[in-house]
Amino acid sequence: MELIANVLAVFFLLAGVTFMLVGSIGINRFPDVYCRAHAATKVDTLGIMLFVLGLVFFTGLSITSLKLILVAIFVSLTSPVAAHALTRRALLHGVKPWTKK
Amino acid sequence: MTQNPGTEQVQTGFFKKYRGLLLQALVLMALWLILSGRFYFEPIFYGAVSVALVVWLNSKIRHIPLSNGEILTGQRIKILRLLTYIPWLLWQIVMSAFFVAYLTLHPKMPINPMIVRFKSKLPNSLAKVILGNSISLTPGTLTMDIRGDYFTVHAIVDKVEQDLVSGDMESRVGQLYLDSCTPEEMCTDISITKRGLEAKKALQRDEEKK
Repeated sequence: MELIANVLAVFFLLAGVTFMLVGSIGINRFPDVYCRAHAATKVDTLGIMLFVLGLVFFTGLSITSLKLILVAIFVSLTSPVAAHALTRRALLHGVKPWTKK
Repeated sequence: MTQNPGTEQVQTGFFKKYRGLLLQALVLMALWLILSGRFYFEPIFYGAVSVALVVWLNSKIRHIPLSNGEILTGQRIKILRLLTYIPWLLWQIVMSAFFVAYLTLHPKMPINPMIVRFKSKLPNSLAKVILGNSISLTPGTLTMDIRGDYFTVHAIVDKVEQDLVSGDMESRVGQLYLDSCTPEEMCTDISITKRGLEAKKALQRDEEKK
């Protein structure tokens, strides 16, 4: 039983780390601030959620895992707000969106 | 801010009248217990006192108008529909992460960004906040601004722009508050631009109108 939990934990941790890496690559690869915000919001949210899920499997069902789930909830609530605040300011400040030629 | 007369819900009975406050107290107490992690008398007692104080303050806050003069009473969120909405949103988060990851890792990066502006018929500010956050979490779209009834959204490829203006998500959010709403009537007055200046000017026009 503990083996299965550990395998699941490692799987989800690796998946989360992969998504966070892809998110970071996206922040560097996308052409302008708006597209970069896409990468920072969506990919990293799922990355952190998977990472936390892996930690939940690692600790088992306890107060600590409930706190970890709270972390995931707050991250998924705040990351779209942060991206919204950044892109809104960028738009009002006159940052030109990149367009396909 | 005009509110539909048909959507006002009748408030009768103790439970229905104070449903929001009771739920709030339950959620806050659960949060307190999780964060404290101790289940004997003293922490629970202090928790109950704090929860009572917060709920009392929040019950006052509900009657203070928002900055646009709207008062958040009269319309309640439908809990059962919220419980079906959250799993759908989680699934959308997974989809969108895979989608943006695909775009990131694609060698040619097939993106075609554009700024979409549309008018939504959602009944109140809370519904608009839910929709704004949901748009940011669904594939390839990002809420840039909400002024009045107008949403300014950044879409990263053509396909997600079509999904957005089809009004599917608006109707899902609308159903949290309204009895029935169809995707066709929720999303109107759509305009697409690729230039940031145009979008900015549209925003400033809205500001002057108010």
